[in-house]
Amino acid sequence: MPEPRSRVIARGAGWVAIWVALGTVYFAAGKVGLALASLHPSASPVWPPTGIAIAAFLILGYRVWPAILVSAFLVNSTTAGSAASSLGIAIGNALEGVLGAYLAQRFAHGRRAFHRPADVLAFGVLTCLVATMVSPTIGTGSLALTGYADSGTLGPVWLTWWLGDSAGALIVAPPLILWSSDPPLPRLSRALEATLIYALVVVAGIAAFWARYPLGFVSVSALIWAALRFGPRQTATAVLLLSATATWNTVQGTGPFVRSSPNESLLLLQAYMGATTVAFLVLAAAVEQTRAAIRARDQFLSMAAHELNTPITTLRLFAQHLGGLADTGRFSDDAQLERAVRAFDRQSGRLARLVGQLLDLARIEEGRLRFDPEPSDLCQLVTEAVERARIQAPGVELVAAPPQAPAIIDPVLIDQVLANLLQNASKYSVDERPIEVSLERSTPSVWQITIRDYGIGVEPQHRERIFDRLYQARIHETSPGLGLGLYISRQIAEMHGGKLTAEFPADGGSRFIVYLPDGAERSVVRSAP
Amino acid sequence: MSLVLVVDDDEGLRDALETVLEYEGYRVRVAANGRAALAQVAEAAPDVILLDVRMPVMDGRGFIEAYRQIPGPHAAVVILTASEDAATNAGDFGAEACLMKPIELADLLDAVRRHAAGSGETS
Repeated sequence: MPEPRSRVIARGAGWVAIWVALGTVYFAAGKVGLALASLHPSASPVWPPTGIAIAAFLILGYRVWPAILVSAFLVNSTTAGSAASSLGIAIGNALEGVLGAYLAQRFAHGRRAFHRPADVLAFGVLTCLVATMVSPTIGTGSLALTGYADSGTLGPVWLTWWLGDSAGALIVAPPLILWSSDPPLPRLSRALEATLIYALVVVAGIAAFWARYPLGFVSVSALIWAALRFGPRQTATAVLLLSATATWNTVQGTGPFVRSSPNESLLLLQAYMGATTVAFLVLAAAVEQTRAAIRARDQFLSMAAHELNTPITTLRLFAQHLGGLADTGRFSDDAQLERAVRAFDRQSGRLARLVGQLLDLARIEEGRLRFDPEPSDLCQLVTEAVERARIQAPGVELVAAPPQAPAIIDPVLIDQVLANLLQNASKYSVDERPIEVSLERSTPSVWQITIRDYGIGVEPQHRERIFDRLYQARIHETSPGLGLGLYISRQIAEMHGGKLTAEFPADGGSRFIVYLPDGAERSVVRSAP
Repeated sequence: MSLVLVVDDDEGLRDALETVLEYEGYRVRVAANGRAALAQVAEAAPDVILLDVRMPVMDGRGFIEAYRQIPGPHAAVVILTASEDAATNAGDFGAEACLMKPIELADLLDAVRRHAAGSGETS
């Protein structure tokens, strides 16, 4: 059904409002930046608009490019140069933002770039150091082509432009992105504590830069406090406040970074603030990652207790029931005995499997999972695994397999992988839809085992992490199991030099594929003199 | 004789509870999740409901909310859980009691006996 016209108009008006607001903020920040330009009117060592543009592309999407392009053009054309030079600079500014956001999306988890140290570093290097070369290159090129810059000064102008853009990206983008995507502070006391940190940073900054009183260490302590007690958002905010305080004082000619030229002073300050930002954002991300790991461990222990307690409860209830029968001389009740003994068998088997998975996890973590490859027939292994799975899930069928599939593998471990994947497929299947298993060559030296189910699948936001250790708990809160199966299976596939992948077809369900080298090359190497 | 409804997604535990309670003379019905339990309640009003918390389709909390919407009298609900949080919040759930897994047979029978005796008094 077509969207009502009124809604289309309302949405369009909403976007225009966003463009105007973003453009205004960008323009104002650009004017502040260019007011600090001294080497060349178009090249400032302080350029917050780069951070604003990158944050806008990451938060609102690439469709805000007209707002960035137009306001960049207006900032420049109302300051210096001609329409042609301003247009070139504006194109460079917009492209820089687009590339910075793209690299952040591609290599640093986009808006979630500040929650893991590796992502912070990727954002710092690719978005803030590499992508920011675009604007100075196109900008100085435009100035040179339109006669607004001498070829002799292009080098220093380019360097000033680049460092200004880099620092703008590093210092301004993180707080904007973090405030837009993280949940608000939960309690007033925490908000007050964060405000105290911000105040300390500003006061220490003023003392160190303006009063020239050696209190710089207080701002460092406050930043550590923010990283340890809060996280990336408050840390990035505190760094931004410190940077603003330091920049203001340096512009006024006070503070440790003041040199004979204002441009040199600000460049030194920006380099210092950029390095400070990266260091404290990495610290904050490391603290947050550690907290997340502890939360995952606690959640796992709670889930493991639940999983173990259920069969233990069953065993204890039956054991105490039989004890009661013995006490009252009715132990010869065959029906009761049979039910109890069968339950003992099933539940003790389940406990053994759960404990086995926990031990496998520990062995994998310590790198001592036993791996004994030997010449085997994968076809026989797959056929037997399917037969066993059919007892619990009649929908499992082997749809394609060669008569024989020789491979040098550890049959015990591969059998465990097959059992895990088939158990998952049946656990998440619905309405007794079939579970199709196939075995074929993917390349002349690699076997491919495919397990396709038509069940509930995995929601897109979880797909990236289903092979992570302990992740199951958050995918299907109510599913039985420890959530270790996929992690252990992938580790086993990789021990064989293979891999385990997951696909989620459009018609629903999941397709898990195990790739296993047949080991022929290994056997040749082994038998060589 | 009192009717006990056992709601748990674990087949083994359902079987154990059914066995011991039937042996004690209770009539027992079982359901694998909250939604199946609502269907059972519509067929025959239980005196006591033994309810797991973590279940697929409809969990324990969802079941209690839906069950309380049905006109009373209501059966006493005894939560079976391995989670201390759930045990602490049993009252918030609207449950009368809570048994922590692993459950002892004597505690189970005591809880069922007590709440079966007072059945129909809660609303």
